[in-house]
Amino acid sequence: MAHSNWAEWIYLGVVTALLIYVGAEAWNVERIIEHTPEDAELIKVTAQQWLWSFEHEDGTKEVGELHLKKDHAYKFEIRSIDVNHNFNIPEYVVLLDAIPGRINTVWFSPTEAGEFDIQCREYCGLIHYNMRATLIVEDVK
Amino acid sequence: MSEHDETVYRTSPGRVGKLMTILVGLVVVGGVIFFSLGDYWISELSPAGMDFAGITDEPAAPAVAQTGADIPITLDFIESKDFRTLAFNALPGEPGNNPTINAKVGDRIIFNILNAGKSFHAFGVTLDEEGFGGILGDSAVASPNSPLKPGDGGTSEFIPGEPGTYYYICTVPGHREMGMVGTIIVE
Amino acid sequence: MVLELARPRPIWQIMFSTHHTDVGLMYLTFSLLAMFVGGAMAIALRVELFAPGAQLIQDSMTFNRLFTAHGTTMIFLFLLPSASAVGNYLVPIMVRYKDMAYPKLNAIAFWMIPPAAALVWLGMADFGWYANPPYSVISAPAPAAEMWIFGLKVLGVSSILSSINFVVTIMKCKHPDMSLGKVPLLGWSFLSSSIIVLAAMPTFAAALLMLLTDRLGATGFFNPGVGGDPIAYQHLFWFTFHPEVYVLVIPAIGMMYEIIPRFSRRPIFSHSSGVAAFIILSIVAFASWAHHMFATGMSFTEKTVFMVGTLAAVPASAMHVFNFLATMWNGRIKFATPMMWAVGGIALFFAAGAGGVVNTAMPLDFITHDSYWVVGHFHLFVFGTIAFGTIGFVYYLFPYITGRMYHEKWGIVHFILAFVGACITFFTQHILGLFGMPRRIYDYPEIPEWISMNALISIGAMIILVGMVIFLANMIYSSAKGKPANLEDPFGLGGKYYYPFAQRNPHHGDGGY
Repeated sequence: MAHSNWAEWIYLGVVTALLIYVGAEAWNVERIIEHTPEDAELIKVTAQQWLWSFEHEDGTKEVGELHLKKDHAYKFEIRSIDVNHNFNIPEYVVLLDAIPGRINTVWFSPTEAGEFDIQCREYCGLIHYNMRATLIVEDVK
Repeated sequence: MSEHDETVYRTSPGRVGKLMTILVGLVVVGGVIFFSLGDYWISELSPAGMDFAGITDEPAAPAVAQTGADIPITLDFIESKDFRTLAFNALPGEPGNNPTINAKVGDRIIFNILNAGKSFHAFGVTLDEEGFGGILGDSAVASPNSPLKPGDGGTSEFIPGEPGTYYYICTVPGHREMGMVGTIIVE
Repeated sequence: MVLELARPRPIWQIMFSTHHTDVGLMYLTFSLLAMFVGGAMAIALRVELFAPGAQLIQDSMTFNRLFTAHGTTMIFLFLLPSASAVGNYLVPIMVRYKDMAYPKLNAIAFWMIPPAAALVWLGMADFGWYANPPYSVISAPAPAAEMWIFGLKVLGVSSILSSINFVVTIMKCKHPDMSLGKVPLLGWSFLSSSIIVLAAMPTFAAALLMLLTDRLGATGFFNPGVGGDPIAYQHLFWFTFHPEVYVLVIPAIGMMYEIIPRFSRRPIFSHSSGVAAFIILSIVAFASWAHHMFATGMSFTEKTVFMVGTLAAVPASAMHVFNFLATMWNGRIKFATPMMWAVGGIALFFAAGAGGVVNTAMPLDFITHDSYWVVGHFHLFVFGTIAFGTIGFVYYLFPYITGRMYHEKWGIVHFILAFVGACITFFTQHILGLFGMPRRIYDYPEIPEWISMNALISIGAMIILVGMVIFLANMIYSSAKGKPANLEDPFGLGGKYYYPFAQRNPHHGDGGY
């Protein structure tokens, strides 16, 4: 090459620096959010074609609805009894696959009272589009 | 580098027309084959799927001849507005919800099934106390993989050969749990 | 429609021919047909999704089959064959050889595609083009699923055969005076994408076979009911298909390398940079597959490894963008139709890549996974970059193939409609994904933001449709009745166009080709 390409090297340096920043920040945030608090209450989530059912620690079962308390930490153990689903509460960025044959765990703590959507985020057949439930967060002590 | 020194022939409207005819013709033929066979392409379940659903070739109860009365019954699939609760004929709490059928061994129960909901349903009679498998005899109307669309209906019949408690259900997975189940008490 | 070698030949003679220009023409015709079929499916989907409730499609099974067929068609029946079309036309000429290395194998690789397409289109399976188990094993209806599996098997073999041909032609049959480093960048793009296919595709062939035997109940690779692991399939699938998306994009970038220097009337800023970028991309492509699986419950370490692997591929793509921009800098640019498509493609490529960096940042993936953000992201790649590059190159090759010029003004109108439509459709999909709408859904609840964005997206899709109809009309009309082109320099650039006849290769003796 007859011409110098210092511009290209600088450009690549800038791009690489940006990517390293993104990667490091992402690594750090993920490390923090994957640490489940010890006092998180366990909720068993069962996904099946095409509904969600839940079981609280004390044995209470709910189908299509989940009642939780504001500002408490909850840990979801997500299982499926037929095909892949994905447990998603978009407004709280809770998202994890429900894979038959294994149990996936994710935690969160709802910071606002109200009603929120629960939806399925992995194609699971005929009624995937309507595999929804409601999260009801109550402000109780 | 060699120059091209021969005459260049460019194609003509006739040849382009021939090309378009062939291509459009192929698409039309394909469409005819596809639509004329209709639902055939999605009509069955894989062997692994049948294992999973507990569907086998042998009938769960032997075929029985009718020795008793005819019992016709109309069952409509209905849904609550939020789609959370499903039932036959009426929602829970209202009269006529999931009617119980009383019959004797050898009676022929004739089911007139209609999908009065907005979603998909299918019908069958089973001895299983939970789940959507074990459908007996000829009692099925449609199936989870080829279900009744809203407004569709069908008929089937069931002749119980043994006394006991049978269940009529919607065979779409999950619908029984959401309320689409009723009992048939046979003595 | 081909630049006839001798005199107008009977159509059956073109169909049975093994000459690279004839096979290239057949690939091109088939891929454009598939583009319109896949496009019609997309329009059906967007009409249905315009508003909540059933519009065009009355049941979700039909919708599910349509989006599966749309994805499968566009990737396997449009993008891959159109790359093969361009490669068949130009690779022998670029390496100054008389034909592809194995002409009969070339024709066989093409002719496998229509029957495979028939299998895929007649069956119309419903499990999405990923075919994830356990749904695809225990729940997806037959015979549609088996037909899809067999169709893709055949397409995979066709791809492998075609790749063998490209690799051998470029590496072994090139002119003795031409070193590998001097092969034009379009040639390098076919060399790298073909090597990726040879390394990656057999894995999917294995996964398909395992899926089939699982469906038949003979094995339990992916069926948890009999002891299998559904995630194993995802690893096998993505090990092939992450590199495969690079197989799709690399030829389109190569095509831009043909268009941009010529229409800027400047040489490529750095040929060796382009070669290095292709080689790096081909290798790093294999390090990132499980970024598609961040939501399956992988461990923190696994996710970190794949995040780093994904980020590592970005500088190589960035090198291409820099190369293009530096080539155009200070150039006397002629913004004819092919150049507009290439430049538009670079802009959307950049946007697509930026969105991808968001996806790979692990925590952010939990916002975007399996939502319309992902749909917008990959469509910016496959439509915004690959289809733009391909369509631009089809316009560029049009005089070469037909000897006539297409209608330039309508070409520009097509570009404007496609670019505006693509921006409206795919950027809005990114935002819709941030609002939580999942992908692969037939209907959606009446959330006001979802309704308005879906309506906007559907309108954008209609804008693209209008452009595509114009394109079809332009291609058909101009190939029959377009003005005869000046074959030395149809675009008036003052540079070199393509010569329709292959160079004699002295390595293979006198007496012609």
